[in-house]
Amino acid sequence: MKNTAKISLFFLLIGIICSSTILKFVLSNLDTNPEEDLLNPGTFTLFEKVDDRLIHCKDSRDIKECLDRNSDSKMKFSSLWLGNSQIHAINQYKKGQAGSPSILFNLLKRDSIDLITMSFGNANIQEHAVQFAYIIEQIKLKHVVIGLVFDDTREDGIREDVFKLILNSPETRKQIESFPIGQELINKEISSNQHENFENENDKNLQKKIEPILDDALKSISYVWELRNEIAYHYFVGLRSIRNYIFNITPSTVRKIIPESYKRNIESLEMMMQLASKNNIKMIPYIAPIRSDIKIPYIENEYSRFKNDVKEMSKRYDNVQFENLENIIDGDFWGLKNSTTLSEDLELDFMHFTAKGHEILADSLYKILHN
Amino acid sequence: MLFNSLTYLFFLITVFFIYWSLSRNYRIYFLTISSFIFYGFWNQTYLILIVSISIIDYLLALKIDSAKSKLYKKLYLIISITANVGLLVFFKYLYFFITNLNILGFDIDAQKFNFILPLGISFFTFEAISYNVDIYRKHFKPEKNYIYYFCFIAFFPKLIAGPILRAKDLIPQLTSKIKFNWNDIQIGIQRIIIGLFLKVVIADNISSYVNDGFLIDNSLLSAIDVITLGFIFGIQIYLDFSAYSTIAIGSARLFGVKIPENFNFPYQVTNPRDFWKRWHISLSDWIKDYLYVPLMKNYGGNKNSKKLLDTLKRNSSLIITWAIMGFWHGANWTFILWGLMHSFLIIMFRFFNNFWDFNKGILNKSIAHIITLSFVMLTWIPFRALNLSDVISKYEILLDPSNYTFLGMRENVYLVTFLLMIGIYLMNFLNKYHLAYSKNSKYNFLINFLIGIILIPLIIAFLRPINQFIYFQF
Repeated sequence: MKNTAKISLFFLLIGIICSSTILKFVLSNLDTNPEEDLLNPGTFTLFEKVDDRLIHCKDSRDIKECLDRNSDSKMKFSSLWLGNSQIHAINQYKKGQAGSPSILFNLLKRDSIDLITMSFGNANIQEHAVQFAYIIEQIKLKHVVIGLVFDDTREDGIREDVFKLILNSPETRKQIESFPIGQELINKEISSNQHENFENENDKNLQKKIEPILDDALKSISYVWELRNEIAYHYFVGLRSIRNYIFNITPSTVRKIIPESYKRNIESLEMMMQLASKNNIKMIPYIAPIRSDIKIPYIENEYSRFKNDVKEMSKRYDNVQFENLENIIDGDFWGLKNSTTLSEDLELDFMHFTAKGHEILADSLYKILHN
Repeated sequence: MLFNSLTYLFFLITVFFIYWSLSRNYRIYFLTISSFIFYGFWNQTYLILIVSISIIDYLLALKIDSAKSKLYKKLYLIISITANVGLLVFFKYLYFFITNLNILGFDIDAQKFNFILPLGISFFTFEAISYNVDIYRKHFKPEKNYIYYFCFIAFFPKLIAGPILRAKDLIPQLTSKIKFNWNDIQIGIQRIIIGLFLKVVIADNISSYVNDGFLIDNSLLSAIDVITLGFIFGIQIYLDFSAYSTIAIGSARLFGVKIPENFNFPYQVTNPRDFWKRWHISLSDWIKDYLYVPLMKNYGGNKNSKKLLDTLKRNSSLIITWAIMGFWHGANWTFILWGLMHSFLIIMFRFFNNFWDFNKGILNKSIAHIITLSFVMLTWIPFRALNLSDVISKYEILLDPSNYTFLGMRENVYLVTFLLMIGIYLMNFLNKYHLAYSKNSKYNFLINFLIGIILIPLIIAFLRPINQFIYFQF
């Protein structure tokens, strides 16, 4: 019995060594980009710089760079453009091509407007509301432009790197909490994730004080431990690919509305309109371009309801100008992307277009803002 | 201290090595001090509380044993029960009682009584009560050496969320000469890894579905959503709590201590009575021995009588017991409702059992299983809901046929719930045919290798002390 137990433990150890070796090998050969995992080498992501300074940011991780550049800018006005991966991804990218944020940035320079763009993959309106509330605490805005994608109303909750904008700024939190939906978003996030930053340092028990020290110590001695967030991420990506493969889920698969997420996102949009109104900011919500030469992956009356809801809501605020840009980009300017399943086949891309599409979008927005 | 943390793993390893390197006489002192340190990691002030109540209970136990007259024995027992229940009421229920009094028209500042609940209070007070009742009943002789009693109360693997141990389960092991045994170590490590996997990889990753699902406005939920929420929370709480018990059993085993199992595949049942023999076994046994049976005896409900009056008395005892058991879980009407629903399920089972044999043939068994499982899962709704009106709203959804025609949650929630139920059936199958947790050494090599190569990387990836165990709040 004694030897059997020892041999069993030895096998456990062998298993651990094997898995560590495999993980180390796999991790050193994998790229991790959680924001852009649906994209692929054919779809290039571009967070552009001008004069070597960022004009296009994601969230709490890089927002300071964009704000610093803006404060050094000599231009009279500032504007903000919020969106999802559509504005930072270019299909079939060729070196030297520009994305719509930099094209629009250069166009708006003529009107002495400095443009800050913020986007990340699958960004929902709740997250845009947080970004917006944070930015207006930092700088005075003339415009806020927000690209609205029906698909993103299925997304719910605020990602950690966006929520940090609230955690790091009591003013932003106060601003958001003054709206019932803002209060709901914060409470939901706190109850779901137990954000430790909301705790007073004195309230933290001994374990909470020791845990980060041990974590850092392990990170410094173990490559696998340091990359464990990436391991977790790749597990999820793998599971999603298997799910999509088994259920044949592709970008063309019809997505239904999720009532609760939809409600929270639409209410967040109204909160943004009220915030813009209170701060005397012109707001331009636009229905984002979608590939319209083939059947779209939405239920038609749900999509129409979405467009109508935004349109009707915009009418209630003098400072809000609704725009529908869904058909501005022809089918020729969209592309294909790698499969999101285990399959090798390319998939139609309803969300991202080529550089020409970016030009068209930037021109359209410039016309609206200029007028 | 949370089990699902680096702090605990480092604590456990340190205590393990020091414990086995000490001479036998000092081990019990070291284990007791380590247990208090374990508690102190959460809150040092409340450490005084657990030490104080342990001293009181220890002294009262000696008094109960030495008292000459039955009257004095009873008096000391009442003092002990009052002290423990009083502590529980003060920290756990006073705020609830006052807020309910205020609803009735009183005007008391309830916030003054909204204390932080001492971790594990519901568990260690129940253990202390059972100890003194067992001594009063002469089922157990009091432990003269205070250190063994302290270790019985504070033994860290089970301190925060059970299993609720009886003195006879633990003290004889502590007083015996525990020897280092590689088999205990092997089993202990295996159980800890499996428990961590269930907690950090599965239970924690489905917690966002549960949290978000129960926050959805009821007007947007379909009947299928309510059923799914019942199932997914039922799965989460099972995995979460059984993970805690598994880690507790594994941790204790590292010190040569065997703790009884707290779960036995509770969702593989054909009737609600069977469910309570498999779910949180240590609590069900405690409730039966120290509440239900005494209540029945005092109330006069003859167990085997078929007379209507006896049946009524028996069922009343059951309803009262289960309402108290529900209330033990938390100071909210929703928990009382949960307990009451389970008592009604058992009464219904007793009634139908007269006409229908639930265990006869595979068809009867399957039907009984589906009905029992569905009801058990639906009773989780009050357990997790925010308040009684939330519960009523959710159950109302089930009564309207038009609510069965749409879905209100993300598709993943239904898929994950379905897959996890399949997983639970699969584990039961493996267990039934001795393919998992087998004592057969041939399988243990393979199981340990698979644990090392599959479970360990997953635990490394997902180990975060963010979500505490659900039963910590009780």
